[in-house]
Amino acid sequence: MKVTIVARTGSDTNPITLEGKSFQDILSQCQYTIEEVIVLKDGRVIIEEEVSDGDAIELVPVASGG
Amino acid sequence: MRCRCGREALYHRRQSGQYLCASCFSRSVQKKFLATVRKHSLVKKDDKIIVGLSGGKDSTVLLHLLNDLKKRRPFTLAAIIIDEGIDGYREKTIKVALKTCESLHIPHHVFSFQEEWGIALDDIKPEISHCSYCGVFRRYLLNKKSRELGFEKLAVGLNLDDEVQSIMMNLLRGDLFRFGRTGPYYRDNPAFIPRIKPLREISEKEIMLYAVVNTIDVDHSVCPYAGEAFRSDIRKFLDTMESARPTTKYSLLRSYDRLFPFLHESLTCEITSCIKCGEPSISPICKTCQMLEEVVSRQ
Repeated sequence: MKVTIVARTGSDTNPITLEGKSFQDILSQCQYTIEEVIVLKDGRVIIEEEVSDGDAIELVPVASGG
Repeated sequence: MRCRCGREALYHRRQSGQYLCASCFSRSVQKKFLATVRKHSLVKKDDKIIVGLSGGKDSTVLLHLLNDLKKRRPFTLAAIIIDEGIDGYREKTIKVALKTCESLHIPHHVFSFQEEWGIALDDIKPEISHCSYCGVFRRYLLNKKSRELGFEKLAVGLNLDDEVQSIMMNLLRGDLFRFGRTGPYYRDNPAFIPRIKPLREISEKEIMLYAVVNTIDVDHSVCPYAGEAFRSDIRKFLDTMESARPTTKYSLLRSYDRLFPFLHESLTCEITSCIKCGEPSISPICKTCQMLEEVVSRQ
C-alpha cells in the first residue's frame, strides 16, 4: 500500500509518500505506533484501519506538552 | 465501520474491540471520567478545587470536564497556571490557557519561576535534564500557591499514559518512595494539598481525540526539553507494547492500584518542614531548596 502523508501537525509538514505492507508498517517508518497518532483524512478523523491505498492523510501526534 | 448506534465510527477502542462514533466516544470518555471521580470520591459538593492548567490537551480537557460536572454538583473551580520560563513555548500555551479560562468564566492565577526565585527554566544549566528541575519546581509552586489561595484539592491532568510511565520510571530507577505515591489518592497531610487525577484511566490518545471531536482549543506544542527525558524512552516502550497487546497500560495500572494500599502504607515516610523555606519535605532541606542551591552554584 502507498499512502501520502500530507501533514504531520506539530512537526515537518512537507508531504511525503510512503510505501509499506500495511498502515502500521507505514506508521513505523514515521517512527510512530498506532497509539501515538490520530489520523485525519480530508480534515475528518478516521479509524486507522480505514486508511487505504492511495490515500492522502494527516497525522496528529497525541503527545504534546512536557 | 459503524458504531453500534448506527453512525459512522471514528475510533476503534482496541482494548475492548468497540467501534465508536464521535458522540458515543465523547460520552464514553465522560463516563470514564465520572467513574474515576466516583470510585475515589475525588469531587465532593462544595469542594474548593483548583486545576493545574497548562493549555495543553490534558489539563484543558480536565477543566472542561470539571466545569461540566460543576453544573450538576456545585463546587468552587479555578485554575492555576505556572510559567516556568521556556522561551518560544510556554507563552503560547499560557495564551491558550487564559483563553480557555475566559471562555468558561473560570478564575485563574498565574505564577512564575521568575517571580518566585528570579530564574527561568531556560537559565538553568543542568547536569542531566531540565525536566527534573522543572518537575520539582512546578510541583512545589502548585502545592504552595494552591494552599495559600485556600484551595482544598489540586486537580492535575495526568492521564493513563502519564501514570503508567511514572510507575515504570520509578520502578526502573529504584525510587520506591515515589513508586509508593503514584496512586489515585494520598494520605492527608495538612501541608500538602491533595492532588486528584480524574483522567488517570483515560489514555492520552483518547484525550487528544476528545479535544479534536469536541473542538476544544488546545495547544499542541511539545516542550523543547521533552526529548531529554527518561520518560520519552519509557513512553516509546509502553506504546510499542500497547500496539502489540492493547490492554498493556490498563493491566499495569490495575496491578499497581491493587498493590497501592500496601505500597502506600509501607513505603511512605515522615513529612517534616524544610528548614530553609518551611514547605513540607522528607529531608531537613527540601528538594526545591537543594536544587536552587545547585542552580546558583553553577551560575
